[in-house]
Amino acid sequence: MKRFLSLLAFALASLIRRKRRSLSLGFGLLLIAFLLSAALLLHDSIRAEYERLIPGMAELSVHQLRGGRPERIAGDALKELESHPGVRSITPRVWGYLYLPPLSANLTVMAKNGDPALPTILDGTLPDNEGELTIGDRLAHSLGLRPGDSIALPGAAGFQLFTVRGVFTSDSSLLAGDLALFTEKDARSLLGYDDELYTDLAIALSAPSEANAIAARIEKLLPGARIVERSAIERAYALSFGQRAGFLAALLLPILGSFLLIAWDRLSGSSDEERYEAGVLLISGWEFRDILTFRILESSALSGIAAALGISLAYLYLFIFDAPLLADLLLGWSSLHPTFKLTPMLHGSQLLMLVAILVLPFTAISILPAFRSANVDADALLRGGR
Amino acid sequence: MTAEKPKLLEAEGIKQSFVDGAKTVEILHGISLALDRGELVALAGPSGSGKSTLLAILGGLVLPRSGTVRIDGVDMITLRAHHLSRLRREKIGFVIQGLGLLPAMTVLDNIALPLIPSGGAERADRERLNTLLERLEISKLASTRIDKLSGGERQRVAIARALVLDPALLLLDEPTASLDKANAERVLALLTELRQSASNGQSENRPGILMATHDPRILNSDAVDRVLELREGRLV
Repeated sequence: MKRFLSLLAFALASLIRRKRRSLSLGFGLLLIAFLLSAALLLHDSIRAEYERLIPGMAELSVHQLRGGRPERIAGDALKELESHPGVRSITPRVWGYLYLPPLSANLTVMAKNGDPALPTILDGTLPDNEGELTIGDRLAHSLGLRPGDSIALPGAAGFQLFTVRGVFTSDSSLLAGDLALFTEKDARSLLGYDDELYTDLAIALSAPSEANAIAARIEKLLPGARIVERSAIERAYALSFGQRAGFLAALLLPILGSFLLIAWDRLSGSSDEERYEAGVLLISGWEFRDILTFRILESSALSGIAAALGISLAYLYLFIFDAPLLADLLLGWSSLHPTFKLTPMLHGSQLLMLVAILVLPFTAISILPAFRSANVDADALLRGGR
Repeated sequence: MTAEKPKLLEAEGIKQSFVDGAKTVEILHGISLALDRGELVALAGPSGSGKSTLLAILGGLVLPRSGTVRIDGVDMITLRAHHLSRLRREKIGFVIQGLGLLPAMTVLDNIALPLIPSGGAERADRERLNTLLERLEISKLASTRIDKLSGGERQRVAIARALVLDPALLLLDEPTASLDKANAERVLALLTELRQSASNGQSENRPGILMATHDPRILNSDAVDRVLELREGRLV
């Protein structure tokens, strides 16, 4: 261990001695580490956001369509399915979107009994009476609202005044970002819904594996209805964000490849100085394996430092500065969310993957040049050494 | 009856050659020599006579085409690479013609290079480094970069580095070649002092010193015990 630490210290000192080479290689690697880390962390953070939502979703949601467009659905449209042994509950839901001009964004309006996974209340309570609402903390922050404050919302029949009854939070900004909960009556009023008609029906199953069979049954009962399975939503999310992140990675990997080629060229080309140094070390009592270890540690340290800095910068860029430019590329250009703050996350498997992508190839390409430079002709050095 | 203690260095029948295009050029034609502890021997000969190659072979840096080299009775030629490296590290200090210093590093860092593979300078090593710096009168230059030093100062740094692991055999290639008279005399005085004193005060641990040179200031000096002359690859 002492030998290893001593060689590592010498390798770090060597990187400092060769500032120009270290900086040029290190900067290139840092840039690639930053871009790859940013793409991976952003993708994983978004995936974590929707993965938090998915367990709270109904296994099936049923929308009535007319002429290919969503139509409101009667609350008892699937009444005869309630007795089906695989069905745990059928919840008619009232929800929709309300455009808020001051935010240039949509607010998700939901009746409080419409969501099977209610978020954690931070302050106050859920709305009990008409004229009350409870909103997500990020929306409250955007609008500068606290429990007890009032807000006028542009409903179907004109502006309606509401009092904030509470503020909730969620692990997911997808949920807490733009959601407001109302009594069913207020939600209907804001969205212009008639009584007995709902946005959709959320169906909870006692055995999720039966989702296909139940969906087939629903198709017979409600021909033309759109039945959305939770697994399909999961796949859609994964595909949507996965494709975008994959697109970015596909752009970045050739850049990494090109950089490694340039690095290979630089590492192989600077061999005169390195061979001289290796000869000096050999004459100073170093063994071949010491020189080889030192060279490999030098490359690993350079790529390790660049990767650590790149990953740290990516973390700051994403979770402190909210990923300008890259967020547009990966998230799309919708302004559905009044504020979209990614939940910071960094775990071991991500770090392992980034190290595997960044440090290992750079270290690997340095082995042959290191081997060459460590394998010196001592006789030549004795004759012509500086 | 006790077994005779082996000589510090014994070389027998050393032959070396290299290939130049289609022909093989013989450099060394069966060199045999021996060196004891405390001896200061000069290896004289014109440029191209094979002095540096012989030193490289005796120092275990280059394998000869044939012949044997023993250090304290151990045949270096038959050792595996790892063991040879260890023997070289423990027994031999080398000062090459170009000195082989790393110019961007300080004096102290250059001298401490041999200590790195064994884990860096321990407390005892640091004391030894300080003693060496004082002995070679380069204490004040410890943090100076090599490229800021004069030729004589560099020479002393190279010698200090060769001595840092307290070698039994010190090999020097043209140690005074680029030095003025005062510096050359200083180096010679230092080598004389070295072969007369052992680091632990025991006379049987005095180093043996072999230096390749064609400097008449050394060859004619009383400090040198013997002069071996190499001409066209043969000792004459």
